[in-house]
Amino acid sequence: MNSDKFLNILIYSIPILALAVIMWGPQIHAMNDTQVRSPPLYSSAQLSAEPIQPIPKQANVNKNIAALGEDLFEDTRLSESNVSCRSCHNLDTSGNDGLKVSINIKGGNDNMNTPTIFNASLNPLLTWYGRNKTLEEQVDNVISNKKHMNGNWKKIIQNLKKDDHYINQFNSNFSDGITRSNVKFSIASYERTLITPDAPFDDFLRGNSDAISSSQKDGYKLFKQYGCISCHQGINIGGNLHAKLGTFSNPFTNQIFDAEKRKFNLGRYNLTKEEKDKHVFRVPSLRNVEVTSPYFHSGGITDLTMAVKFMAKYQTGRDINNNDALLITEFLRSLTGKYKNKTLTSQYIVKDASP
Amino acid sequence: MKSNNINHIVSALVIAGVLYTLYVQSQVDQKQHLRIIKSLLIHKESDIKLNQSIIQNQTEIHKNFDTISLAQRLMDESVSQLHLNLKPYTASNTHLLEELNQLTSLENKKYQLVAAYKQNAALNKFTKQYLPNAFKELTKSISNAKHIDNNQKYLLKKDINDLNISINRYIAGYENDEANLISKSILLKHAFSDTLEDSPQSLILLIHYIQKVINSNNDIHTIVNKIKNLGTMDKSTSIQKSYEEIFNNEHKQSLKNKNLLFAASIALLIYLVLIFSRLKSTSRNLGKTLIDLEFRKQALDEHAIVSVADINGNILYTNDKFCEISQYSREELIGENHRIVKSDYHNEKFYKDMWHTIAKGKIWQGDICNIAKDGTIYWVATTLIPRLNEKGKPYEYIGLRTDITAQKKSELEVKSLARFPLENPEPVIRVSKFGEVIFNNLAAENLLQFWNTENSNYLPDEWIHRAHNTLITNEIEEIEICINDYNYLLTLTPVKEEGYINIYGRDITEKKRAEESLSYQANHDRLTGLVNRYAFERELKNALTSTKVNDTSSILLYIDLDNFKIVNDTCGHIAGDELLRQLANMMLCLFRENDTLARLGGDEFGVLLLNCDLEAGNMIAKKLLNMVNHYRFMWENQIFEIGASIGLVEINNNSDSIVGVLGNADIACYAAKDSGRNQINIYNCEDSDNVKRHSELQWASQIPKALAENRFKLMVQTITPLQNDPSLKPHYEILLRMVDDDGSFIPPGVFIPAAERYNLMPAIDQWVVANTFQFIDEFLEINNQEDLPILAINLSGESMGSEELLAFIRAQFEIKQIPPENFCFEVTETAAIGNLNKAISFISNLKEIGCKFALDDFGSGLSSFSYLKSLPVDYLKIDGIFVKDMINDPIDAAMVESINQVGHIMGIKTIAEFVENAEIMDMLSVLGIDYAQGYHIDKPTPLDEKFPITEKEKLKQAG
Repeated sequence: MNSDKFLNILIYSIPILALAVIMWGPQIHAMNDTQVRSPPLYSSAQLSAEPIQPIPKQANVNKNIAALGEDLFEDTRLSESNVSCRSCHNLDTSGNDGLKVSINIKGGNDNMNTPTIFNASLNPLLTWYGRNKTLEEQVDNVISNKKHMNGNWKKIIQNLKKDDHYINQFNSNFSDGITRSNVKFSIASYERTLITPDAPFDDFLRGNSDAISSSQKDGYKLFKQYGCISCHQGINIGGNLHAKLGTFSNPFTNQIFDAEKRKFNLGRYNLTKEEKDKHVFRVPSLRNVEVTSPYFHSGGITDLTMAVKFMAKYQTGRDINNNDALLITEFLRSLTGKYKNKTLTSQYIVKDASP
Repeated sequence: MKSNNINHIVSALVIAGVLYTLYVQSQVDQKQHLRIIKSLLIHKESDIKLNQSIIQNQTEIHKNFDTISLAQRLMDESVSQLHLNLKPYTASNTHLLEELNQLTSLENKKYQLVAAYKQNAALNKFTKQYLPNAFKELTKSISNAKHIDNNQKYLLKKDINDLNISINRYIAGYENDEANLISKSILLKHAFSDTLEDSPQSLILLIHYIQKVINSNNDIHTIVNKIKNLGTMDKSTSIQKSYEEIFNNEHKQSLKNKNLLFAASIALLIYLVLIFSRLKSTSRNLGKTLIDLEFRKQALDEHAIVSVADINGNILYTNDKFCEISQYSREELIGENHRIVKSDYHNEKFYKDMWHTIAKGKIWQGDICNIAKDGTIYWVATTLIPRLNEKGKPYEYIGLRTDITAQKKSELEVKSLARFPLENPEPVIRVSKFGEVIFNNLAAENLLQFWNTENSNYLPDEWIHRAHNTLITNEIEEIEICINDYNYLLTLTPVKEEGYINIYGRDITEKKRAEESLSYQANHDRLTGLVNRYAFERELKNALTSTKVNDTSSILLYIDLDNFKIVNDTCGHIAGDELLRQLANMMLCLFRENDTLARLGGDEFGVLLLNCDLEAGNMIAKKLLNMVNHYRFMWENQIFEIGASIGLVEINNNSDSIVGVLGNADIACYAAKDSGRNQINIYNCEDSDNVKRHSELQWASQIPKALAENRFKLMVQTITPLQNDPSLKPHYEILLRMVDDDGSFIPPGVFIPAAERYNLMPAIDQWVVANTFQFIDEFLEINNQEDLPILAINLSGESMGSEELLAFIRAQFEIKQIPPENFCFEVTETAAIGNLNKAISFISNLKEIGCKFALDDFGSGLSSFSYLKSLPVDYLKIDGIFVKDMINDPIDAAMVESINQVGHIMGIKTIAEFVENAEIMDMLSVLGIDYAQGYHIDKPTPLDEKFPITEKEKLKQAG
């Protein structure tokens, strides 16, 4: 009898419970949480009165995805022919190709100098024109760019899907597996790890006054006095604003700019076609500037002191004396950081040394 | 059923669909709502932050553009988040989409403005940074100028200072008269050109920088104002408002749906409760039914043998009873075909009909004979019920059976029992108490025909009366009747309780005939057909009593033929027999009907003439004598004259006993013979005594003398088994011979009658027994007990009554340690019956210790089988007179056979005497006689020759 009663209660309670579940049960989630893919460049806590800030010791990224990104970074399947990201960004040296201008996908010369990949993540603006705001955009553009990698995303995804390693890696890290945006995010994540902390100057900024030499200290003082600091500021010492090349006079008559590539001297104008953007370029970062020769978008100057002098002449309207230029150069040398605890070396010199 | 189910499923799906739709409609995604609100807030926040960072940059709180860049990035992200989160609404709400797009373009504009700000701010900073140095250099160049005086220098310095102150005020924001600044700088340039031939480089640079400062300052001012008035905040707020409106509408709708859902759910709940309550009552009923069904199944299983089979007869289910009766386990049965228990009892048509019936969906009933695992047959009353599908086709058969094996068996038994009286070859009739024939078998037809019951179906009145009587007395009555030469013994058995009478008839015709034949033979001489001595003595006894009662007299004639021996000796006893037969027939003609002529033995005849005086008797005797004298017997061309010696005795009141009368007649006959034959001697007391004394006394004195002198010799004759039965061992009958003075043997027939007459038999018997024991004693001293022959010793009737002899025999057994099993005593029927009680006691006494008894000369004497019942004998010796002629005479053969059968039925072994040739012996063997004795087998031999003790001894010693 007891078990019968219990059964009855059970039977009657089922519809009531069902109703309760319908009325007050958990609500259906129509949408998934959106993934915030681009992390902040740096935390606001680091910001202080000093116009230049040190690079954080470690990048805040998903290590698995970064590892996947590393594989992709070195994968030639992302391009039309045998070219990977790494083909132009040699991470063993200075994160660039050491050439005056890049080699395009057909093997010929491109129009612009290749900027280093190191600390690119710290740039709010990417490319010489400051065309892209995020690394993801940058990756997409470089891969699909006809001159650079001329990759076909459809084919790329197809090819990657043939690779068990990628299938496993993507599936374990992403709910939707191998997609265009996941490929971009993975490479970008990897690129975010490509930072060069522990430059002597960063040590100095962190309070180690012996980290740089007195001439470097003098150089830094001159760097400020000459007003270089007004553009080359922030964590990446540039990279976060546009500026007109040649504030006081037109530099483009200088021999460092090839006459046949005059078009590219127009800078952002090529993008916006606005008069105000003529000769406006993104201010490049001065991090590792010592090892990232040749300089300027044309790659026209290979000597750093020469570049300092060039900048003083066209941007400040003044002739800088040789001593000051050397001191500033000395200061700039203190900006060379370490990747994997190894101070960067110049790809240009490596290339020079080779026959 | 199927369509019903589909209906149920469809309605359930519809209800589920409605409920689900209502449920989905009633939901408001609170998380999404929160996300949207949050992203709106973030957007506002980042917008404010961006503005803030610009101000912070302007006021040099932050000395780089990273803050701005960060704010820019955050704002970018907040816009894209807004896009993402509002996507579900923008798809349907164009207004919101438009606003969002407007916001996006505004923010893009803002981004560009901020970029422009940064560009200008950098320039502005740089120029501001450089201005003090420019002023210093200019002042320095004036001081170094050689062409102008100090006053001019002072004025120029004052102008420079004135400009410196103005520019500082401008930079500091105290002054914003840019025209004044420009005019002052132009004035300064003019002043320089008035005083100096060439304007110094530093002146050109200074003115250039001042222009840059003013320009950038203006630009920054314009940009910041533009940023401030861009209205991104307003747009954001307006988007928020639009969204909230949409959300509120949605919320209202969801509330409505929630109520609807609630109502629907309540309705469903009520419906469900109704269904459940109905279900509960149904299930309660079902449970009850189930228990009922279970009980019924149990009851059925307890009673019946149940099985379920598919349409092919393959067993799907069996109950325990099925297993029990078939002796198969359930595992063996399931899946097997029902043929497993099929027996051969029924023909194919039986099963065909059965299958035909159930295949049509009809119930089949019948009795089936099945076979169990061990091969035993069992009967089941079977009902096969087909289980039909929707189409009315059977798909399963349920078989209910009851074990009727016992019933069937008893039925058959009853049937066969019922046939029992029908099969009875003897008549069986059952009549009611009113005499009506209720039942009769075939054998009774003859009887009923005789009673003429064909028409009336009632017994004749006489029999009705009889039957009725038995019912009243309740006693079985036996009645013999004769119908058409058939004799029946009818036993009327009343069955009082039921009130009817069973009449069991027995055809006793054969028995009657055999009995008649036996009695005839018992009373008649077989050779002549005359009355025999036994019957004659009976007649004589009757006559004696009637003489005494009626005081009349009768005459007894004792006739002894003379010269008969001559016929016998010369022509053989066949001729002698023929002579006797002819004479008997002739003599018979002489007497009256109630007179009795008897053959008393050999050539002796007796005549009893009732109610006849001496004179008439004498006359008749003379007549008889005359007839015999005139009679001529012819045999093979020989003619014999026969004479007769006749003794005549009158039977009157003085006659004492038949023995005495017969003895007197015998004496008279002897006297006649003595006095020269062919004479009639009328018994005279004195004469007779002399003769008697003379003839019998001679022997009477001889016998004791011979006993004393041991002038007797023990002979032995083999009695050999006829049947191949190891239990039958050869016997040896001890015979006695008297040794005459000349050494010849005198046969016992000569001296035994005298011995009997003078009561010497016990002495002779004792001599025989003693000598036999003596011999055995000697024999056993040398031989093994196994070699001891079984010996048969004749005992006379007198000896049977002798206590002394019995004591002697028992003492001998004890003293000599002789096994009694080896002894058989032969007693004549007549002797035994003469004193039956004593004989029985004697026989029983000796049988107790293991001796055997044989009844001698059976069939020729009184011979009533009934005596056999009271005489516990082991052997029957069939009288030689039956054996002698049994080859030719079928009656003799029948006699031998019937005696043998009777003997065997009573457990008595039979011995045939007078076996004189091989033919007889073969026939006896065929008839089943156990032993045979006679000249063909062995002639009497002296005992010591048959079992020579001395020689054996010698042999043994030699060996």
